[in-house]
Amino acid sequence: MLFISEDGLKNLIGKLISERIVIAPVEKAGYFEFSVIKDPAEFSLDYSNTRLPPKSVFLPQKEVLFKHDPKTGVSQEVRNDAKNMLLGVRPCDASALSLLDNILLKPPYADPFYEARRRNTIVVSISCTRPMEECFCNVFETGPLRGTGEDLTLTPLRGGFLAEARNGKGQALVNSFKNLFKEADPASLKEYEDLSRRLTGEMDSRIKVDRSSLTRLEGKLDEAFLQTMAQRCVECNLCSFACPVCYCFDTEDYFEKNVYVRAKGWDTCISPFFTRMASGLDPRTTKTEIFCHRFCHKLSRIPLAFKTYGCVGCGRCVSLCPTGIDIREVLRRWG
Amino acid sequence: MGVNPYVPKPARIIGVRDESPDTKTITVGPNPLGVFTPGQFAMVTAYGVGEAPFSICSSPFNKDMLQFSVRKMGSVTTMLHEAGVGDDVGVRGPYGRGWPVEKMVGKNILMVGGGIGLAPLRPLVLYVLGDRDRYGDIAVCYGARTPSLLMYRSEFDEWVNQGVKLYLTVDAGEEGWKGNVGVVTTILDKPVLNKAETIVCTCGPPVMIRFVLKKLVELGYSKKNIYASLEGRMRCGIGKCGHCHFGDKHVCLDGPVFQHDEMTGLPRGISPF
Repeated sequence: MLFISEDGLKNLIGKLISERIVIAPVEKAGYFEFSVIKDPAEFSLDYSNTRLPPKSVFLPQKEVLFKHDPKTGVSQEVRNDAKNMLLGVRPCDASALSLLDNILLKPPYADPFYEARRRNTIVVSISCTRPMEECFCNVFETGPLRGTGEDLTLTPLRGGFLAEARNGKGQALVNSFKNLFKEADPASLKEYEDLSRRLTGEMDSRIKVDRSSLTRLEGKLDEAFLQTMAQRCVECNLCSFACPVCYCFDTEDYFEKNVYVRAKGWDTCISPFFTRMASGLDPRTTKTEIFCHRFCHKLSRIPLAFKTYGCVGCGRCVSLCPTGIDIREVLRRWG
Repeated sequence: MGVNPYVPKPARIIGVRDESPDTKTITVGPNPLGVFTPGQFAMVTAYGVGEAPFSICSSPFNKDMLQFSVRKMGSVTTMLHEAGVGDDVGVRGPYGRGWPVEKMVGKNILMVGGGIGLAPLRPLVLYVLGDRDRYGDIAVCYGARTPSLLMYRSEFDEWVNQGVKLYLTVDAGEEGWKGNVGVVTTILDKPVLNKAETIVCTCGPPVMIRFVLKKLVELGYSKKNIYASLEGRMRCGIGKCGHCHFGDKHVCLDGPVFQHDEMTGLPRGISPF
């Protein structure tokens, strides 16, 4: 394990700002949002988590898929090769990336836009030392100290950060700033262990779930329970749009500056039109079926398919839902 | 950046045929997709309007063109109805799992279609007729609401001449209709086939599929030999957009053709049971 001092990290950020687009949490109107920073001083550690996950760095809310010129009949691809560094991602949100990789990079049809952004972006997570009330990353082991999708994990300790390269990309970053890192001393490692124990205990006392019992959730969720959720939902779609894992999209075609454009944009299974076909036929019509799909997809279907969960416990859907729909109720009852 | 699977390949409409009052069969060429399995689908783009999934309904042996039967339903299909010979369209595919053609060699084949549900079965008819000696008896039971809604009527004589046993039915007859009146399940017992050696393929409205599957099992066809083609609101066709994801299946990747027992595990609504 390595250690980097606070000044060392500032130095590293400053150097990277000259090479890459550095995106980090910045306070805006009382919330933290991922924004491009031009100065290491803009980066602060004073947040539990950002209001929205960094999903849009990899899956923008709207993305042009291609442009087609009707005169020449040629379709032009839209490319984006910008080099990014995503700094200060919480482990839960970083873990969401490894799940998105599983789905969006799955051969034979890898999503080339997502692939390019993942390849061109260095993801540096910063351990969460102050989990919020709604957080439950302990359930899926996606935090609070380390996630699964980041290239470099930094854990704030006295005077600096414990640094752990998580893959070749993270190691390359460390190697190129070798003089800023040193071997972590025993006191730092002890501090890390204590922090880990304290946070695990703290979170486990709030919610503890037997994850294995969540598989085959579909047969267990009862109609009456789903009804209580369905009746409350106002279809604001916040739970999906604020979810670091939700990846569903819809497409839209339009005519702009004499070319046809097709763009994809975020969509959500909560929408009553999500599965409805042009004929009017709809294989999923009731709100209870919609909630059953949402919960089962995240907690049972994705785990069965990919050995990882479709929820990372970031708690945003819980804190943002205007009517108090809480996925933790599913975990508590059937986990 | 890797290959962009969202970009359709350019093609041009080279023929349009009125199939029924609300359905046209469009022919596009050159064939930008190459070889496909009967029962697979393609995403067809009406530029500037959108993209929708269609069964490829032409012969898999025809390397020069593709055909799609388009029922006027929404914005894309309306645009394709308004398009004419010479207009540009985009095509992506072929996608999904088609009918189990390898399993059919040496067996009888029963196809059961309802309405526009004959579209994914037509390439299967043309496929097996293209190599007729490899298969046993070939029977088609086909129903529509009215005689004028029967698809591919102009080809029926040719099919019969080449050895297809064809049984037609309509929900409501029109003047001059001398055939059977009733839903398609009322004619399922007409083809006399060795049921143990028969592969059954069906496509039609969900309610039809439900009763056809039930009737087929009652008649003694083996569940392991029964297949149905289902539909979902496929947006991407490649398992990324989430629209046709039900239970542990994507209709676009794992289907659209499903074996009988695979469908029993699907959630209510998409499952025919």
